[in-house]
Amino acid sequence: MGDAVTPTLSLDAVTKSFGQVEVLHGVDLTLNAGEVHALIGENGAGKSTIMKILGGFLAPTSGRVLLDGQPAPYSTGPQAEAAGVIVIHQEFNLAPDLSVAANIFLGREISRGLRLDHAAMRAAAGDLLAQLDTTIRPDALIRDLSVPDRQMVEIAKALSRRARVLIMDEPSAALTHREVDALYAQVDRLRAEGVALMFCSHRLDEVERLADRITVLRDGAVVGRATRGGMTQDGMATAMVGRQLADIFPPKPSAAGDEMLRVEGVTVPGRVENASLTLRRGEVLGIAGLVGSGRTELAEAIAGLRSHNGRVTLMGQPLTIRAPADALAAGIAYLTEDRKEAGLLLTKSLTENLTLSALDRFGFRIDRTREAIAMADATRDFDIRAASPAMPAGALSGGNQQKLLLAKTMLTEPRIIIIDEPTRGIDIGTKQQIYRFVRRLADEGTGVIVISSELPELIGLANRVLVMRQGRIAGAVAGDRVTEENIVRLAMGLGAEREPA
Amino acid sequence: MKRVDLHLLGPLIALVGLFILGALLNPAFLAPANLSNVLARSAFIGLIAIGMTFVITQGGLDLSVGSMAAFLAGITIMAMNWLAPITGANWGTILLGMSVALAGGIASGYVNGALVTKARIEAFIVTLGTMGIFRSLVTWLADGGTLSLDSSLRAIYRPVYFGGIGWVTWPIIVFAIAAILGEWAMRHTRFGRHVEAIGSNDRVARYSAVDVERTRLLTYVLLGALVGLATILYVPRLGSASGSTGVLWELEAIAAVIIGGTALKGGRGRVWGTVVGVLILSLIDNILNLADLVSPYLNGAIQGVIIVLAVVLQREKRAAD
Amino acid sequence: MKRRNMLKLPLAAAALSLVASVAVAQDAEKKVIGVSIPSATHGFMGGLNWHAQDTITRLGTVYPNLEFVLATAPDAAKQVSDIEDMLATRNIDGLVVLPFESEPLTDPVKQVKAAGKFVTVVDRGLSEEGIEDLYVAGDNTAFGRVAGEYFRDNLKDGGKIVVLRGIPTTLDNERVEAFQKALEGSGKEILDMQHGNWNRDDAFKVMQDYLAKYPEIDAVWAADDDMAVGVLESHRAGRPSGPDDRRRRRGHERHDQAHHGQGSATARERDLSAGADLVRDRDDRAALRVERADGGALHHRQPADYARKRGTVLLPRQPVLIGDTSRQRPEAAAASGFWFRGDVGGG
Repeated sequence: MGDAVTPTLSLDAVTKSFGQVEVLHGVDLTLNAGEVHALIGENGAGKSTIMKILGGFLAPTSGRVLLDGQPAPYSTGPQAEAAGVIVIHQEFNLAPDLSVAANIFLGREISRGLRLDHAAMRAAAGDLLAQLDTTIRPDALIRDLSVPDRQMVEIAKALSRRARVLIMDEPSAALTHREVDALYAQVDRLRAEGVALMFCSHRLDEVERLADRITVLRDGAVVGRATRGGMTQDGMATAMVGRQLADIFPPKPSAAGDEMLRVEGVTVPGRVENASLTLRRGEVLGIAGLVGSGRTELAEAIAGLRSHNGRVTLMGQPLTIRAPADALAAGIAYLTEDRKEAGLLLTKSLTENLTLSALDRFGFRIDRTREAIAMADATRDFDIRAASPAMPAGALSGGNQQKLLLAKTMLTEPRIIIIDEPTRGIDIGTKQQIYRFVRRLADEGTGVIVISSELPELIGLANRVLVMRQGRIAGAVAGDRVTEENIVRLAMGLGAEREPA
Repeated sequence: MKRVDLHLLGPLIALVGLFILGALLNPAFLAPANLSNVLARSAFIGLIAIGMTFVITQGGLDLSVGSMAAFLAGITIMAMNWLAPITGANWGTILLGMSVALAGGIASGYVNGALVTKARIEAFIVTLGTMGIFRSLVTWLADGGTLSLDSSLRAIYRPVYFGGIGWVTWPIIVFAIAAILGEWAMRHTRFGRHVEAIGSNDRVARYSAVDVERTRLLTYVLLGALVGLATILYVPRLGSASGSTGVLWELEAIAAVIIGGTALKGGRGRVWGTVVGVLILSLIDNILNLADLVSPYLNGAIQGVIIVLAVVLQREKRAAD
Repeated sequence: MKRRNMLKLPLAAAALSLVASVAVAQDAEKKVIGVSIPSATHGFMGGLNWHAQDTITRLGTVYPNLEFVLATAPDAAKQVSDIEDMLATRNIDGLVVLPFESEPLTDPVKQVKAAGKFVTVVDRGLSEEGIEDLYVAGDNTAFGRVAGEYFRDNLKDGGKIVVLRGIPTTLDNERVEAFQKALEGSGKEILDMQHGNWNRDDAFKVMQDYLAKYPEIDAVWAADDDMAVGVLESHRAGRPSGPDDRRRRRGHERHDQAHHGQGSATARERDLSAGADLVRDRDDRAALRVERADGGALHHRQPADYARKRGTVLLPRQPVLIGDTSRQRPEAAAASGFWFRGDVGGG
């Protein structure tokens, strides 16, 4: 770590302004060969801007980007890639209608004369994917892949480019445990090969596990640096937020009231098999399971988004749910895991997004004044930080988008709310707000179901956790037995939980 | 935000520019009779384009409207000719004919919409098909020739196109009312908001409990009804329909919608913009006829340039965001 | 639209009759005549198809030994296949063809000729000369010239004319050039020429704009029934307070667009114009049919010099020009006397 080593890629007193607003204030940063550098900070702290500057997508307003000690010879993303600096964005950059192999070699196709050498590309793609410990077929189409699989393809694509510098934005946000392990193994391998790595993450355990060097950002400035072992997870969180975080999860009252929702024998062909659950007043019911275990499909069936067989009874009344409107009318709301593609209209204003599901409450001629009031209320109640209610929802940070989506769903005044991945890709401060909000809903009598891939989240929030596996409910744990081990055992198909020793 | 939004104001500025140009080139341009002519002519495409705005905004397309107008004009004329000996040549017959046009339009729009939403065939393909079907049907009904309205009925029906309040003839009035209602529906009603939501992301709309299929279907039905309305105004103008009636109207309507700032990929609809777009296209025609500015061969080229410019402005807007 | 240049209604009928006469002249044995024309994709072709079928029916009645094979094609490729099939499977003795396009049809028709069949080409010529036995087409130059001469002779000095042109095509240019040439030095002024595209709606708009643009218009050359209808309508709407009586509206071509679904008597009375102007909303095919119902006389009415000119028959397509007080038919039209008989009835 001596100064004698020339960093592979570094920022030297970089500032960046958008119009009048300076969003980065003199940031210094070094990425060394054979090191993993973690960049952490709350949403809006400036992580994305730094990554864009490193990757050539943005030019700094002042300061320098240095590659091997020389001013970086690129000013666009593709030029940066050619120079060996590769960024994997959170929004994947894959052509959905092309095969995995075609995507990996997009723009650098292997050819024999004029003819593309499909076999060679398939074989090379297959090798890369095997290294990543995935079972993705090279000739599968991207559109048929799950989100984590697409992530793996992105990583494979970066590997195929023989990256000198690899920058990853939230690489594990969409991955399951097994895939995360494969990812970590790859990170270790690349580090050993002398690649300079950097990643952003909201998962502090991951940062602790992977990073040789940590830089903490807050409001566009570096507020903390540490090397491996030099900062605890608590320390990181405190540095990011700038204040002491009290216990991130609110306390769980144990009392559960009457049954609110009963779901019996729900089957979604090919996805969910004969799933049943009950939800009681005052409790938060968690649903765990690997990605693809049918948890989202079960929720979507209950919300009328998927055709299904089975019985749903709400407050003792049998319901017929064929369309989302039926569920909404009955008071069942589903908050999607895919907030960008299914939750919010990214090009529309915050207000239009907020009221979309509940427009019938605003009169035949939409009452703009009441809409504005609703928006103001939501902004206050959900602590949505936005420049203006007229700004497009896509311009909000992930955390604020999630809060807006929550506000939008709550505007329909649901009696039951199913929240799928409540905190995916958002910072720890916002997570805490959302956890408190979820708990308050349950305390106030709304039925809450939380679906999550993050086990600590389920353990911290839920009174009871159902575990799904291959479309079926594999089991349930409640109270003290809601532990990571028990959930994982059920999710892995190890049958009944082991009696606590 | 302080910067002038070219994309919003562009079409309007172009319209004003055309007005000034027209007035400079020929004083007759500003004569009420001429303006009345231009506005009345715009009414057919205008009404259709208002409906098209909703269809395009929800992410669809309807190529069949020109053929549909010809077909509706055909069945309207046939219905009235058939009815005339029974009910006599009077307003009652005309009104029955009008209801045939309107009902036919609604039914045709429903067919298009149902094929798109229920049979889940792409709008482009469905309406490409119905475009040919309507066109053949009217050619067949007319036996390759022209269907003409009975002269006794024509005398009664003519004022619907040529009459009005002074220079403001009925087509202008109907067009204006439709435009105001259309803009209101797009801006201020749940229907309009849902149409925009579906166009910007139908998955989000579905997850937000919007009845996507029904709303989509409704836009096609609305468009069909407006085509029917346009037909009601068209028939008294020439009193006839043939296989060549309404040729390329669909493209003119789509062009007007795009010029007006509605995104072809959907999600953002401006009915007032569409009205401006329709007026721009008719004014170009009118001015080129009034002034020997360029060869009339180039009329299509000028309209083409305007359409491409409108799209370029849309893109600049996006880049500036 | 391109095929608008054909002589309108009677071309097919004329060509068929000519062929029939040839066939009959030989002997009374069974003869098969193939007829290949574009399909009825729009009004004009609709008329052409109607007349072709009508003529076939009538000729079939008069000459029982004739058999006709009618094929309509939506494109040149299909037409080529049709002709090949006729030659190969129907064993035709003669072919009447209106080529969809000149180039692609030239060779297939040549094959037919090489097989010793009698070939009649209608309207659009082949790209190689001397293949056909008979060529029947309209005379666009005469079309424009006759109309120009009429205006020259009947308009007062300094009379102002506006012209509605057709779809921009060679034939439209030929007509308009001849029209202008006929007016040269006559002291009549052509104010403007815009394209009405042989279309009612377009002509309506163009005429409205003429009326807004020119305070004084003495005559309009519309050259087509469809455009004339549009002109008349716009005339009434365009300048309601205008001095109608000072303007005369002129001119149309006999027109094939008709629907025979209604009684022909009503149809013939369906004048859109008031008074003496006689632009017809549509023609009446029935009138023509009556004229020729006595099919036996058909070929006797052909121009006397037909036999000598065999190889090319140019049929002057005269517009029937109708003045305010009397309807006159230009000399040439009267002289041809071939199919304007129907007009006489209509007029």
